[in-house]
Amino acid sequence: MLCSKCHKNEATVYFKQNINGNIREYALCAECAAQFELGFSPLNIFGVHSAPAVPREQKRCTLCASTLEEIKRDGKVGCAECYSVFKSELEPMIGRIHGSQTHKGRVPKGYAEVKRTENELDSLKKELKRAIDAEEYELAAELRDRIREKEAGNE
Amino acid sequence: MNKDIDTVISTRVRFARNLKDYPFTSRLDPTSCKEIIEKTEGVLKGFEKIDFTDMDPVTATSYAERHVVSSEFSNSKLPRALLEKGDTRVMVCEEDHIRLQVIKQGFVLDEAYAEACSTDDKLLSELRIAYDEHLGFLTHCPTNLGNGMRASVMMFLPGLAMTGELKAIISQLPKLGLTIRGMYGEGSRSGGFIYQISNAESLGSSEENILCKLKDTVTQIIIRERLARDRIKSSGETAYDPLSRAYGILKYAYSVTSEEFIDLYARVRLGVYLGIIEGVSYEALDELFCSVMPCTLSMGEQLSPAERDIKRAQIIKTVLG
Repeated sequence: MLCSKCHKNEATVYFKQNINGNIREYALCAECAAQFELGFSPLNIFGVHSAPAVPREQKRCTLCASTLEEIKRDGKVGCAECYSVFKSELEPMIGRIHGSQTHKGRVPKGYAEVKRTENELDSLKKELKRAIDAEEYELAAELRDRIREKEAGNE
Repeated sequence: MNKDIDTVISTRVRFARNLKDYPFTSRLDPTSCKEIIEKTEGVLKGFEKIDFTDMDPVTATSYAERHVVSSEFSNSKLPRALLEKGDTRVMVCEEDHIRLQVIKQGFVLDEAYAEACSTDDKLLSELRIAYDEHLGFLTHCPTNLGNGMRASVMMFLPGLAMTGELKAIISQLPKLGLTIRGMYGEGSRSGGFIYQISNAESLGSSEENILCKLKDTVTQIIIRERLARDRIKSSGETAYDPLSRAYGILKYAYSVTSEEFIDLYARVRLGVYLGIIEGVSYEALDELFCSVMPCTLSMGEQLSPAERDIKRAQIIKTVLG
């Protein structure tokens, strides 16, 4: 969301002002928030200063650092990883565009094998955890070797 | 003669692909762009590379005018390259890292698709392509998710436009998951009765299904366009006069603007179909169309708009004899 005052920077400070039941909400960038005059504040009457506005932490993509706000603003996704990071937020939008969320068609060569190996690795890891918990160390060592072998082959 | 060239100028199939390990193009730094270009070039052996990075804007735009690259690609500031082999062209660092497209004259969807697939197979087997089993090929814009394919047919529809039947067809296309645009794609106007019909959806339908639907629809439109042209023909000789006059202007004008050319080109193309104008092929007219667009005309020399219009008229005269 863009700053409601300068309309240029990303808003990072959000607050609600209630004066005699007249409620106003603000979304400001750090610069505008610093300059913003709050005007009448009941806290100041009692000599208590308003708590400084705390920037709200935004979720960012682990690969390209995009935020959901940026994706919505541009209508474009930052990288392939964004589709996993913002999966639940993007799903409704994708549904509205396509009316479907199930790909039919071409698949990268070897994708099915890689996927099968990933699934096998997942179940081997679960099995390994169970073996360790049950103190079946001989089986655990065997499973560990099989996992290493598969991971090496998957690279 | 190319298949259905009287009504279909060209057929295009394109795939959007991205490399898994890089952010999408608008978030790339120049070094990463160069790496992606190198990787793609390494896979597509035998393709000629045309570097657009430091290309002068006039030359870059002339590629867009000839539909070889998109306008976005020609205007981009990032390092980028075109890899070319026959009718197959691969734009690297367009909106998506890789935009592979095959453009062929006439109505040849299956051939264009088969050619695009043979190059796509190389990319899919040798590069780490961003893919998800539910969302398909992951693309910069969510509208291209799924198969990442856009199949489009560039149609010449003066009959339907002049008889007013086109509006009804346009209103039916969204129900079929298809869309209609002007000749330079999204947001462009439809000069010269030229329209691009393409798939609007890419997630949830296989490539074959999309091609089938597009092929059936375009075939229907071709039939209706020819019927409309027959009606124009049967309306009598008054319909012929503007077409013959257009041919006369094109052959003898001293100066022709690009807007005027597009209008005259469309009349002459229709005149060829109706048999009023002889000795000119559709292919020659379409080639002429691309060669007289503003930037293509100005390549290698500084021309004022007035000088460009004179040069355009000279080229037309040479081609039409």
